[in-house]
Amino acid sequence: MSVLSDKLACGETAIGSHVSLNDPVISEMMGDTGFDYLWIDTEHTSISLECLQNHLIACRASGVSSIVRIPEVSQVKAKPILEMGPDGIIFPQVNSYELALEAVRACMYPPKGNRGYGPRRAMRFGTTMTLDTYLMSADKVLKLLQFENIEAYKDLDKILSIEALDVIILGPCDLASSMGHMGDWHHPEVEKVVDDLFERTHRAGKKIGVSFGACDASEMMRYKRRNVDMISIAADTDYIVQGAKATLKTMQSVFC
Amino acid sequence: MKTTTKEKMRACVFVKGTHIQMSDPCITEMVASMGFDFIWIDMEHSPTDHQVLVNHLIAAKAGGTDTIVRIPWNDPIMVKRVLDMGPTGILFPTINTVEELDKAMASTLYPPDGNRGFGPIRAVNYALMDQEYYIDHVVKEQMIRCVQIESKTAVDNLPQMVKNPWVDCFIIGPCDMSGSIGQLFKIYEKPTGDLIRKAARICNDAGKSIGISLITEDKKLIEYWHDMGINVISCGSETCFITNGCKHVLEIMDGLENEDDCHAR
Repeated sequence: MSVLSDKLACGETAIGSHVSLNDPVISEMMGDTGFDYLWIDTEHTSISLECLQNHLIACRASGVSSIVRIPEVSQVKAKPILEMGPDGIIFPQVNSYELALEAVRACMYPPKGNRGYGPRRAMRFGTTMTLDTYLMSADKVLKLLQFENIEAYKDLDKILSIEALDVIILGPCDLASSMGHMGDWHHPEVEKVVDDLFERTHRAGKKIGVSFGACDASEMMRYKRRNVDMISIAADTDYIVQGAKATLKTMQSVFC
Repeated sequence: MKTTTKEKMRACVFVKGTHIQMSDPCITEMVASMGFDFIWIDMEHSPTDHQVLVNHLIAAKAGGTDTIVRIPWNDPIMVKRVLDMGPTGILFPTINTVEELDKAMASTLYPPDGNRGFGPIRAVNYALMDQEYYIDHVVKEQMIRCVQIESKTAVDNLPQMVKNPWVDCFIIGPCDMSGSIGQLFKIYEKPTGDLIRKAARICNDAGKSIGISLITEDKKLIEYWHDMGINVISCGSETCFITNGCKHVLEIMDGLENEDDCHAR
């Protein structure tokens, strides 16, 4: 069990942040800082498979849970990542029931799914895990599906009926864009869909999270009020840029 | 709490290690989770550089095993960079004299005890660790310091060297030791054996740990050194685990191939 799945199981809000740079030192550092989980992104970044595996090792070193976002719903793309043994996998743009089903099936062995057999780091190369213990938990890898397009709304109840689905992740920016409100995710029409999404997800007994870039307490409050189960805020690059900006500003105030 | 490698070395009890020479940190995570006390990451004879090293150190932490990094030479510049990455310990190759030993130990210690420059990064958990804690406790009480004894000169000087309070373990390099008396690779013959036995006795008498670095997987050969009074044994490496595994599988398949050939005839 990971910190993330424990928190989800207890009904506590899990707190995470995004990793987008290559150096595994970033994951160890951010893990040591105290987040519950790290969201390692391979959809929008240059993180390679080799790099990713080093990030996962670094997450284990600092005791932080790891979830990996892959570029698209694809069994072929999910496979090598699942073999590396992250705690969870995030599928972006899950815009229909069929895609949702394809995503969760890619994470499970037959008869539940269609995952091919070939675990590597996922079963610790046979060092600390037997095949039996691995197989008992393999299908339980956290399956997180991103809800970030209004197209998915029509299939929402069907998507939520999928037993193996663990978490719906709201992507507020892309959702607003898909509704013709690019950059305005507080638009009443978007808010209405988000409220409904949270309510229906919780009613279906599923967990729901949100991912966004800005470290803004009032923005976080909007989701706290909706009883968000996991919240991923800001990224490694933000911390560097913000830290550099603050340092520069102080230096300029003294010397310029 | 688990007894640390340093505590075991100080108590002169049996300590088990193995070597890592390749670049993939996955290997280190794998080996680190198997039950060795420490992993000896080699920078003297392997292509491992600093960028690869830091990934190995992270992976060993993930697997839950202490790390001892052998640097290429007794050079404070090399020591600094490696220690700033925060391995559990450091190992100096080819220490022959008290002066060389003093120089090595000084390069691991901050003033007034030594002359290490200040700039730890991963070693202080990226500034999450209190710096005073690092200086007072990690550097002085937790860091492992090992030196290699691999020549006759070093054995001659060993009675003086064992007096240095900072050394946790003196590690024999049997091949170079045999070379130093014109007996290269004859490590299981009398002249080299006598020299190493002498070194072991000096360490045993002084209450210091003595180690050896071996590649063999032969039980009898490992016992040979253990019986000599050597308590720290670093044995095997991922490269020989791979080649030995390959040999074993090939042996089985070659056997089957031969059987098939016999039947065909």
